[in-house]
Amino acid sequence: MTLSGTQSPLLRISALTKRFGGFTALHNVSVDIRPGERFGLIGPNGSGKTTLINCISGAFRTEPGTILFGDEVITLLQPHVRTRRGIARSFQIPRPFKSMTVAENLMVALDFAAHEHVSVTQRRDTMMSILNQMGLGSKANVSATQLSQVELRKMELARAMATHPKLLISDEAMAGLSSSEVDEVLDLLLSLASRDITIIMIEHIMQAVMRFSERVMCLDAGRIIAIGTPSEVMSDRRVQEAYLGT
Amino acid sequence: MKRNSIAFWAGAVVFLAAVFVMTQVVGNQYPFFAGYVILQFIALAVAWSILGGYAGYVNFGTSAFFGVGVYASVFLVNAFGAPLPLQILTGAAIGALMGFALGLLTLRMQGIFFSIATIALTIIIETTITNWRYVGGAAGIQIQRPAVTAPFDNYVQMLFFVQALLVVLTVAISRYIQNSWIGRGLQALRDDELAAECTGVPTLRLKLLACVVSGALMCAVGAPATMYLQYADPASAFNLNYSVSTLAMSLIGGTAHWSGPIIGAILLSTTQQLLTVTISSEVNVLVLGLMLVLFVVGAPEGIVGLIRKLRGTRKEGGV
Repeated sequence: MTLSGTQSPLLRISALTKRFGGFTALHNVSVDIRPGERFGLIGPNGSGKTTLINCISGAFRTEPGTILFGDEVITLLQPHVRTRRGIARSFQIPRPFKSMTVAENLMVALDFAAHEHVSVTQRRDTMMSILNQMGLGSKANVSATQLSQVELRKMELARAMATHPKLLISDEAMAGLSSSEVDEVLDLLLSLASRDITIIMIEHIMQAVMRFSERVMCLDAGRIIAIGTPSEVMSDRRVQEAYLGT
Repeated sequence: MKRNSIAFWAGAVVFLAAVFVMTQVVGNQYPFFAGYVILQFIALAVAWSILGGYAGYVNFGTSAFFGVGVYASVFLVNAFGAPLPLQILTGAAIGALMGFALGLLTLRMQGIFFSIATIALTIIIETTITNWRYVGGAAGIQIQRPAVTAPFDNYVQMLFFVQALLVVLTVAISRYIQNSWIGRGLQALRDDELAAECTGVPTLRLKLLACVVSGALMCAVGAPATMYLQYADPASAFNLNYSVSTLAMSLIGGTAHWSGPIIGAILLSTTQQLLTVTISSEVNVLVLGLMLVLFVVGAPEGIVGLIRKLRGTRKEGGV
């Protein structure tokens, strides 16, 4: 499941296993993600997609297995250190800082994860420019609790973007959205990808996965059952069985 | 310096000047006895709020930190006849170390588990002091006040001024934390620790910092209490009432802003002082409980939250 050719991967996951007591949520997962790649991660509910994301972002410790980000082994690093190295994520169920405004949510990221030492004014400018890109410019001073579902999803992506990521992991950012809102978020992700940000997108909405991904990986019961171009994976018999149970 | 900061420091100077003038003009000693307790609770509530309010880690160990401050002074006076500034500085240093140790041991726990651990800390330290004869053991110990330093002509007046200085220091630190990146990080981790970590916030390090600063300040506030009472015993110094009152004052005032604990402490400790004098010291505990229940039900974000809400409603109504 590793890359062929000479291009070194941005993210290399090797023989990753995650157990919760007697339950193995991920079993010997190995995959390489190329710099700038648009990578789709699919699989039925409970297949281990979010667990894998939690292992990459540091929310879960892995045992055993190695995660290499660029040239560095990050397996034992705390989540905030991984964020500073350039791994950002959104959450399946949005987790805004509820006591803050949208602008303050982004300022946390700019305060703690921004690589350069810049002035407060510059940080505010960056924050407003990210919010404008995400179509949230008019919501800067609105409390995060007053946002609609699609706005919350966008704010999570904006907050992740404020950390200046090299790798952005979008965990079902389109769940529960209408078809026009799905297109809106998808366009945002595509525009981010066009700026050389590597994106891993977990999604159940197949049209979105097909349109977005250069490569797709399908997990089932914690194991990789298929990886390849979207059409290859969709036509894979094991993928169809995993989804349809036939 | 920003306009807000100028206003704050001007207010602090006016407050200290007023306190100083009061010590030089007022002859009656009672206002200083009562005022000292009010100032002490303001400083305790503000210090508590750094960890309990900004970070949302409800610390029931105020009495442990306060009591250690008291007994740090007892030890220093007994052993070396140390002067008051040294007592306060040593109290702060011990409080910082204690906060660091408490933080390392307990800050991976969340919610009620952290709170229980802080109560346990109080019991452990109180038991240790109770069995330490050098500082008086269970029977307590009498402390002689040294001669008062000029320009004050009474020791309690001097302690009143010193406590006012501690209030200014505590409030200034709390205000700085709230307005800085530290405050934003603490607020983020209070809202959602995992989201904060994944946004780059070093949550454990920030919680430790809050625990160290809060602990140092609470111990420093406890240090002059030895000279104020001229007596120390474990049951009084580690009285759980300090923890409950401090927590109630912060919550009633509101923990979202540095001014909340000040408002809560002034309101509650003044009421308590009045009730103690006019009715009985038992009634003030009852009133404390009633006020806490009323605020938890009616204004869960405290007086500051209530004011913000009313302002917001008025603005909406106006448009």
